[in-house]
Amino acid sequence: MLTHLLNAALMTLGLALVSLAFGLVLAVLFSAAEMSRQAWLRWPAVTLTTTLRGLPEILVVFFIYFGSTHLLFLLTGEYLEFSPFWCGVTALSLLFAAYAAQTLRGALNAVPRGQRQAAQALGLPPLYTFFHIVLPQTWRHALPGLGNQWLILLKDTALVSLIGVHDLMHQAKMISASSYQPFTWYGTAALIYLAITIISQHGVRRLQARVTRYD
Amino acid sequence: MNKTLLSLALLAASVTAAQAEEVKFVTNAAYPPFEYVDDNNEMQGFDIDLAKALCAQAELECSFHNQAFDSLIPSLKFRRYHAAIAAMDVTPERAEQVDFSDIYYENSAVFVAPAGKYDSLDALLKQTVGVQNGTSHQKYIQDKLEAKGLQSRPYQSVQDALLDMTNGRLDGVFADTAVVGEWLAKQPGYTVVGEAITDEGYFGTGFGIAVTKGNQALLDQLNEALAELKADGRYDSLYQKYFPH
Amino acid sequence: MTDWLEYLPTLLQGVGVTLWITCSGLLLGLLIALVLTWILEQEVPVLTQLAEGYLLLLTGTPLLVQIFLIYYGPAQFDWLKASWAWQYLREPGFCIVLALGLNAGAYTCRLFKGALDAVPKGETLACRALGMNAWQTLNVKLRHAGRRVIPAYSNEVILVLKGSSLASTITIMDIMGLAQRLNAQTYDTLVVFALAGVIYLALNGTLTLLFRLLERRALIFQTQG
Repeated sequence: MLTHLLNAALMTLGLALVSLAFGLVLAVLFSAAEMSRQAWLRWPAVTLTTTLRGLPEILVVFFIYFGSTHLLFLLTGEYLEFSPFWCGVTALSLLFAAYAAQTLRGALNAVPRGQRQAAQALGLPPLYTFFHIVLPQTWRHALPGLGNQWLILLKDTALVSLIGVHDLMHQAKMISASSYQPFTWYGTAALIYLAITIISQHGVRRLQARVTRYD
Repeated sequence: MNKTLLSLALLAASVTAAQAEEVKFVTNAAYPPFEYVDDNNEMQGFDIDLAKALCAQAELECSFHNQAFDSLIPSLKFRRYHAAIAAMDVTPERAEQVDFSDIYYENSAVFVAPAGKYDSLDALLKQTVGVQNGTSHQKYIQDKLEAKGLQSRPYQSVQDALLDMTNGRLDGVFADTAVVGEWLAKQPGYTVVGEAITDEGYFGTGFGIAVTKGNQALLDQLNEALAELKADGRYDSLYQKYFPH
Repeated sequence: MTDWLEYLPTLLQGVGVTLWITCSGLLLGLLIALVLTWILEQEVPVLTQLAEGYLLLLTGTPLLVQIFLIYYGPAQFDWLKASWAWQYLREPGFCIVLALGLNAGAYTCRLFKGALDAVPKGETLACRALGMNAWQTLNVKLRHAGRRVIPAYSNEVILVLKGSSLASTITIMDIMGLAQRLNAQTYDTLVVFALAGVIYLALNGTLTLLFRLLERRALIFQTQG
């Protein structure tokens, strides 16, 4: 039964990593839109991220799971279906992005204006400036915040067990019900989550040490 | 990102189209003896066996999927699956959302409680009972008994509710007679309280297989196969296997 | 989409339950956080290590697992079911408040500790140099840290409010529980969940506003003091 649980833990990790990848892309888009000078870009983005941050996570997960097909049907007149896994990924990456966009915005603002001006004065092209001068510094400022949000994302994956994704939490529930040992199995699941968290924290710290090695 | 989502959606849609030959059954496998997951993580039970027999008879390729009970009808509505066989009462509300096959099992509902504690339904009225979320049982209590003081708590499955009753969290459980019967046979110390309830407005006339509204072709195939199974005795032997008492 | 007026009264019935769970959880969390922060600040031997373990365990695992562990876990032990504790643990309301409180306690302690650690070392040293004792020093630190704590704590309040929605997973009829029941019975998913979302956002907004006012008052008090 422990093997079942460990397999399910891989599912949890996979879910979290896929959501992280999508979430980071979304976060860049959200923060770009929020910092845009175009009001029609800025306001929807601000409204969306504020709303996402204010809603209970479980509501977002249910809304996407039960509501996505409904909404797509209303919009397109077509029945399109998403598996629980992809609904989970969508919900988790949106939630991640809503918070990560804030972090990125803060980090971009934290890069001193002088850096950009200096690059301009040296005649460097704008894209080169962004990718080689601004972005590496943004990354350094954003990493602690993003690391935190990754840990939150990891814990939020437990919610998708409620829409039937066979993750660690779901498996723990199944084994608890059949073995009548809920304490043992939820406890074991908790320890596995804890182990993943601790390993992640070490990883983030090493990454942090790498990006700040010139400080 | 929107493009990615869209292409994912299209991918998902095209995958469904390619597998259109397969009939995807969905159930909530936490409802023995109708449907449950055995030690090998395989779905078993009367409904599953019946559906397999129906598929064999109608020469359909079938697969089975597990979901929460309260998301069965939405997932049919949005064509996530083709059919649901889940000990589901045929009720007027549900019949607005999905189409039902002929009745394949006649049903009633009962209260169970610790033996010797409540001698009639009236004695149970000021207490708390467990029901499965989204079932006719929940609606029945909400409409008919809540005003008389009966509290209900919603559970993901009847098994969860029964477990919480044995833990002393609930005074009783309100569920399908057949499910409770199976459980009572293994649990001394618990008993049925009052008469079985057969209110057609809530529990309909029995269980039916639900299909996406308008899928008449599948409905006809299932009904025809069901009639065959009933005629040649295969239904009866299945029934005997699961409900010997 | 015409039924939303019908759903609203049902959903609003859950507001009281949600607020009750949130407030009780916050109160318990605050108590736990104060005790833990005191232990960590005073570096009480053994207790400090225990407190660190507690923080790691509670912040390193999902709240949902903690809730299930507290609600379903005790049933495994017959001696526990026979004990006096069972009359509390059998109540889902008690379990959710306990779980939220234990969880919030850990996060709030991290927050308090962070604010205290942010007080410049020089300030503490200055207090010592002035001949203040440990209590007086802590008092100075607390005043300094208080300014940072209030806005951060309002975040924690929102987190607990959002977390309270998990009460629905252990049979409690809060806003989320009622929304799930409505969804299961009417299948009107978009409207039901959107309405529930609006109610949560309204509650969040109100709480945030209250804290802004509190913050302003606290700052006035500080400039006067």
